[in-house]
Amino acid sequence: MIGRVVILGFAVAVGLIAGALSAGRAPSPQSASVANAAPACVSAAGTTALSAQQIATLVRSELEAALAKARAPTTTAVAPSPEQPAARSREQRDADQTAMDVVQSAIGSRVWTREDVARVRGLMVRSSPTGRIDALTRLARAINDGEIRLGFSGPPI
Amino acid sequence: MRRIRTIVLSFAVVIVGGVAHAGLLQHQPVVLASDHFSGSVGDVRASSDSSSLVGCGVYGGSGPSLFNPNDPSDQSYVYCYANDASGASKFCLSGDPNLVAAVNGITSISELDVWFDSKGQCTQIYVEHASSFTPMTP
Repeated sequence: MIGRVVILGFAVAVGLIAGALSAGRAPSPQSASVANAAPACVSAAGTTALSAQQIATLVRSELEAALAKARAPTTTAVAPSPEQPAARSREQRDADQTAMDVVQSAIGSRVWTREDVARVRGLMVRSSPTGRIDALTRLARAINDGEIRLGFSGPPI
Repeated sequence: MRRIRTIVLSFAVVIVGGVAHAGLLQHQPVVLASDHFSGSVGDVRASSDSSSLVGCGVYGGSGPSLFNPNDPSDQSYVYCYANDASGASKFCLSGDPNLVAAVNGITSISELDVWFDSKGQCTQIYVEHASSFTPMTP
């Protein structure tokens, strides 16, 4: 019984060794075709275009370029800012606020008086262009919409 | 009889001659609307009331312009206004250089038509000078 087992194990070992040796000497038909195709890429028309190595180089360079682009700092196109009005001085801000206060106060009382005209005219020379236009257009809207009436005969400003 | 005929004929000649030399006359008192006002400066000045008024002013200055973004160095703007006999008023402003130029052309025989929007800005200013308009007198 023991002798039969030893013989059977020996036979299996010999078979495995023989199989390994035959595999090393005779490549399979599939591996042979890959080995033949490896040197060049053949186009559908049968002409040689790029080698596998060239394709690999191309792919590598494209990947490197894409990676470099992704790592580069984001540069967002910044639209040129529109012309900003000059910064207002403290005196201008005060004059702007006072001029608007005069207009708002007149709207509250529903009458635009000669005194209001004099005050706003006096502030105009010290106010900023923005404040000047804001106050005058607010006055214009108030007059045109009937929120305020002139308490005198004459130009509103 | 002949004398009467002569007098009548002379009278007719004087009347017809007078009319022919007057030319067309247009009276344009101040008119206010929700988005417009008008009037000729001569007629408005000659109004029998003491409140009718029509006119425009120009402010000239340099610096950043709000009304005229195409020319940041031009801060000029115009304002126009009108009051009627009842005391109602209209008022608008603009920095449009075309409107500034129109206002600069106003004379003592001008007729003004001014349109404005809901923001109080003048949108159009029409200035006409014609022999038919009443000239402003003291």
